[in-house]
Amino acid sequence: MNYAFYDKAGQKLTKRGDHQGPATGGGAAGKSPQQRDAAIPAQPAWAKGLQRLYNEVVEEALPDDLAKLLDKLDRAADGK
Amino acid sequence: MASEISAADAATFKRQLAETIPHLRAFARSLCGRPDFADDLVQDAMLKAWAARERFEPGTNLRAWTFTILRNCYLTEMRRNKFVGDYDEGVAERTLQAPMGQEDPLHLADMRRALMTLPRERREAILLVGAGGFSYEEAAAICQTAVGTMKSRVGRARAALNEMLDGGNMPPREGAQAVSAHESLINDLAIATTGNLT
Repeated sequence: MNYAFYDKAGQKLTKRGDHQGPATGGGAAGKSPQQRDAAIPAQPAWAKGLQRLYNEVVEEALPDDLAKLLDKLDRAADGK
Repeated sequence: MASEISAADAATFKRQLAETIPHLRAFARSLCGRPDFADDLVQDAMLKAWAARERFEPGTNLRAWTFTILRNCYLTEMRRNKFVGDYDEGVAERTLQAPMGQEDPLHLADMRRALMTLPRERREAILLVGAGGFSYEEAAAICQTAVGTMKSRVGRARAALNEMLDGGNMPPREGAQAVSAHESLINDLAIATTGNLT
């Protein structure tokens, strides 16, 4: 999975300090796709690592106590 | 706020809460650095979320809502000193190496170590925006801070991680320090007993 920052409008952010929104007049907006690609710095290597660190836990099997917790909550609610 | 939720809403809430568990675990583990305490935090957060389910507004972001609860649980534990200085590099690396397969486990171990050196505010900021997929606005709401502050924290976290991981300025491993201390002790003993350096 590639890592990238996106702003609230879903616009991919391409460089540091770019988090305020998409570029406007005089910036990347007026360039060809090739020029824009050439201007995009590579994401730091760690960014992908951070995403993997997170996703690997997301994809782990849940421990039994957590998996069964919701059922216990249900029973507790039923017992009210 | 609804005083009572319908059975259908409760069932929906429960299903969505279950879906958030893996994300809560991922956030908690990187936040506190300890898999065992992270799962305790998740359990605590789930119990609190369930108890407060009538205050959740259907249609809003349940993941963000539960992350806020988990973060508050974490801060409470921090105040009780449960997690202060508790990052266990050995546990973290063993946990990382197990599911990695053919990938390079050291890279992720370094990633986690670098992450744990960040101040907590910056760590949670980069986790929420950079890994959790939250917008700055959502991350700011979870951390109960201003959007501008959140952007600043993310920027500072990115700069620090760039410096450590891309710039090669990682702090020394605890294990390496322990070996150095051990070697130093052996050296001192050798000098004391033989008068020679090893």
